[in-house]
Amino acid sequence: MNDVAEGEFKIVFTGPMGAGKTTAIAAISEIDPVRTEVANNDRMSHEKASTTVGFDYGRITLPGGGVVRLYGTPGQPRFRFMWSIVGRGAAGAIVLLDATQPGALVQMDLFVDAFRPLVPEGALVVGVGRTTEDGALNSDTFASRLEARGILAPVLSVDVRRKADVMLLVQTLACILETQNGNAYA
Amino acid sequence: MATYKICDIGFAPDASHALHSMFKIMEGRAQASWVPATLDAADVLLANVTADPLALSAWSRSGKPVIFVIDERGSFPPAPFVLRHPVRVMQLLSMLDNVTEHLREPRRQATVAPEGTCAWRVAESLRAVAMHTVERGWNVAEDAEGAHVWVGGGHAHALPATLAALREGRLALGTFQPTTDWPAAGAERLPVRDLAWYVGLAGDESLAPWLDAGAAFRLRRWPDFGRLGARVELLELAAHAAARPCTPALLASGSGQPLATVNRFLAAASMAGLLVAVPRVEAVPVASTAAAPPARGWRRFVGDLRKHLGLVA
Amino acid sequence: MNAAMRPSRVPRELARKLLETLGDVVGVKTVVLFTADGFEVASHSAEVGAPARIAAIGSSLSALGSAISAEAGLADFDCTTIQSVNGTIVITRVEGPHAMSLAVVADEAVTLGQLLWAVRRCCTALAKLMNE
Ligand SMILES: Nc1nc2c(ncn2[C@@H]2O[C@H](COP(=O)(O)OP(=O)(O)OP(=O)(O)O)[C@@H](O)[C@H]2O)c(=O)[nH]1
Ligand SMILES: [Mg+2]
Repeated sequence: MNDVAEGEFKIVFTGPMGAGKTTAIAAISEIDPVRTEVANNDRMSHEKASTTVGFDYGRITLPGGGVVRLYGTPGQPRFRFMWSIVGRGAAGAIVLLDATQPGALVQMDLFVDAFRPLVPEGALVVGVGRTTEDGALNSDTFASRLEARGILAPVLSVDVRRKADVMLLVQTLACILETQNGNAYA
Repeated sequence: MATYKICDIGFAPDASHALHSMFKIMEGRAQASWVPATLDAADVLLANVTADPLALSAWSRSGKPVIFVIDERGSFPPAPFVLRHPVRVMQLLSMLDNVTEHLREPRRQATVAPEGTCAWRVAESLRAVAMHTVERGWNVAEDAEGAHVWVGGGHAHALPATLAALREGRLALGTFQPTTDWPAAGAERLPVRDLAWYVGLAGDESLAPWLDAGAAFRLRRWPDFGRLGARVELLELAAHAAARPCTPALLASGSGQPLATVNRFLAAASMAGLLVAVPRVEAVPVASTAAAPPARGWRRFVGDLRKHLGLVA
Repeated sequence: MNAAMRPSRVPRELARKLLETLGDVVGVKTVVLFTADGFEVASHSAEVGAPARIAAIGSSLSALGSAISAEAGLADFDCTTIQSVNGTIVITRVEGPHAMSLAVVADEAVTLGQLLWAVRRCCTALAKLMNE
């Protein structure tokens, strides 16, 4: 399904509007990312100036010649049709959330439910941003919600503007993939 | 079949009544028989986390097990047995079976192991005071250089430099002792479960005395490595322990990490309330990684990724 | 859809009148004018509900058109035509102060040359309207 044997694999960044998918890919891509951002008219949902309507694309080349392709989905539900297009063939998904958004837990459910069927079992990591801001939900609240739903996925507090934090999300996903593919359980 | 006496405290009358009905329903299904008892006579305490702190700390000194019940949105206390409200019969049943396993292990009767090594004594002392409220006074631990960490009211307090040292695993604390002093001016707060994680990681090479060497363990939740700070070996251990229940030995062979690292990881995870002990019969035997050939390309690929990320183990 | 999400001061009723002229071309089924971020501004269609979805997907295609044009070193996206066995879809950029595009869906009865010509004329008129 994913092309690891050929030395390539694909990771999808997803999550609601303004969670930081475009920012995360720009933080770690070695190429200037392909963006499909346009002026945002929906200032009620998010006040930022631009929003993704197609997908983001970035890339990391590994020392051994392997390539990690990074894709970002649009976040607004209107573009839901892009989720499965972008998610197809992904080795794993990273769901980004904004802990200060009132509906963040419901958003997590929405994106986790949409992407779990698109990736191999367990290949999902949740990154929660802005957890230290006033009125933000604690990352444990997100983890408890997943636990109550019987889903065991890492929930990490991150600031996707920092390269090291985005790398931690990718590294965590890589550890899960390695564990699942490296033994009799795979 | 063994019979254990259980006392519940801190619950509303209807909730308490519901729990008693569950004990009856479980009769014949649980590994042991459970009968309600008074606080003095009980073998096990079932406590709402909001219960009288004096009763809770008196109980913690007895070394007998306590099952905490937290509300829907509450965060997990650093304790081995925690249920979330509303409690369902099957959850209570499996929790009581876990406690039964724990009670059958005679050396576990004493929570504060006097013969424990120094590093585990620190962890044990934190376990004993972690649930104290501030009204009960503060507890403090000190390292060789005189840095202090205070604990009270569900939080740890320390100066930013001390917290940084804790996060980087550079702080070797002594045991927590009651104090009349208040946290230093300028001290910052940290949830006590985060402190519990660091204290567990700073533990001894041996398996923590409150964990069963023959049991299998799995993560109920991942640690928030974004908040706690990450090291590659801990990420790998978490990935293994999240995938399936593993004995310490299996965890070591599966992840390729030394047993000492595995033991510290398990101590940290259990102190932070993230670990579930699985009775041995349920543990899934997994062939060690060495025996199962890794999927083609994966090992090399992930190794390269790691080099790129600058996280070489 | 919420009116607040559309650029204000767009003469929507006049725009809709212009879209109607495209409806006269043989084979045209649906015409949708939408913002670059996929909100329907005006439409002319026999099918209810269809314009909103076409607006969202159309904006993705416009953005992907811009992205591939830039990648290939070409000037910005202007027009794309998608042909299926039983119909044609044309997506064209509308010049003007608001970033907008026009999507036209037609069945097999349409003549492509005629359709493209009518679409161009409509876009010019829309651009003039937006600039007023
Ligand atoms: N203060 C703060 N800002 C953040 C944090 N994480 C992300 N941001 C900001 O939030 C914004 C996220 O915007 P994008 O990256 O465009 O979000 P997106 O997920 O791609 O959104 P859509 O494409 O519209 O779905 C950027 O301006 C980031 O700088 C954080 O932890 N703290
Ligand atoms: Mg984006």
